[in-house]
Amino acid sequence: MNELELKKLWQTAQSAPTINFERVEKTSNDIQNRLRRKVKIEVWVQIAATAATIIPVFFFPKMIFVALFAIAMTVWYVPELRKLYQPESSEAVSLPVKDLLILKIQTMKNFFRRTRFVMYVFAPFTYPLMLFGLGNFENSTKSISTIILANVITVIITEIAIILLTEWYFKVLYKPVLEEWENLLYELEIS
Amino acid sequence: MESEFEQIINENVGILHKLCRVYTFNTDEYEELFQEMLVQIWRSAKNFRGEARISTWIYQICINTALGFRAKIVRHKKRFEPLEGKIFSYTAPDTEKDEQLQKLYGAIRELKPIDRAIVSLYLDDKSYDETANILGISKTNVATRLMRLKVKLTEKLTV
Repeated sequence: MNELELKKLWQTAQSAPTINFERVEKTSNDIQNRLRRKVKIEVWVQIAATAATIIPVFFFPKMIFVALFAIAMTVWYVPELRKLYQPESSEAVSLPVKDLLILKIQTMKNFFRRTRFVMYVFAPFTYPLMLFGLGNFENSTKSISTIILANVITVIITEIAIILLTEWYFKVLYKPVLEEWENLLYELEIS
Repeated sequence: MESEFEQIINENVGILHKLCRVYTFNTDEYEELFQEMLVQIWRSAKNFRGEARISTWIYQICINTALGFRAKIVRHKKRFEPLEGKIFSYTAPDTEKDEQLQKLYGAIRELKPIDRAIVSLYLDDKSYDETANILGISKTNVATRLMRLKVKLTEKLTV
C-alpha cells in the first residue's frame, strides 16, 4: 500500500460506536465525583491524623505545641495534595501534549518534595516536642544533654522507618505513573 | 449546548474511535478510553474558543486523554472501577472485517505512544504545523520523525 492508499483506508474507517448522549453529563459527574472522592479520602486521612494530635492536649496541656505544629504542617501540605489532581482538569487537557506532561511531572515532583519535607522534618521535631509535652524534661535529675543523647537512637530509628515507608508509598502509588510521564516526555523530545 | 455537542461528536466520532483503537489492546480498555475521551470533550467544550479547527482541538484532547489513560493503566495495573451504565453501545473491535484496516491498526499499535499520535495525525492529513502544535514540539521534529515512521510503518505492513 502506498501513502495515499493508507490515508484513504484510515480516513474511511467508519465503524464507530452509537453514543447515548443523555448519559454523557451523568458519566462526567461520576468521573468528577470519583476524583473528588480520592482527594477527600487523602485529605481526611491527613486531617484525622492531625486531629489525633489534639486529643492528648486535654490530658497534657503542653502537648498543645505538638498539636499546633501538626496543624501548621497540615495547612501547608493539604493544598499540595489537592494540586495533584489538577492536571486532569478540563483546561489542562487542552494544552499541547508536551506542556501537559511537564505540568504533570512538576506537580508530582512538588508533591514528593513537600511530602518528604513534612515526613522527614515533622518526625524528628515532633518527638522532642512530645517529650516536652508529656513533661519528661520536668523534675528530672538528668541533664538535658543526657536526655537528648538517650533519645537520639529512638529518633534515628523512627526517622529511618519513616523514610522507608514514605519512599515505599511513593514507589507503589506514584512512581510508576511519574516514570511513564517522564518516558513519554523523553520520547517526545528526541527526534 | 447539548445538540451542538452532539453535532461536534457525530462529525468527529471517527477520531475517538481510531485513537481508541491504536491506544488500547482490549475491549475493556477501548470502552473505558472512549468514555473518558467523550467526557473530557464534554467538559472542555466550554473552553473551546475556535482558535483551532474543531478536529484539531478534538485530537488535542483525545491524545492527552489517551496518554493519561496509559499512565492510569500503569498505576492501577489494568484494574478498572467500572462506571454505572454505558455512554455508548459498540460491538467488540475484533469483529471488524476489514483486514487491511486491522493490519494498519495493529502496525500503529506496535509503535511508541507518541509515534502513534504522529502517525494518526499524519494519516488524517493534519499539517506539520497542526501536529507540532498538538504535541508541543517543533515542525522539524515532526518532519524528521514522520520520515522515519513512514518507513517503519511500510515495513510493518509489508511483512
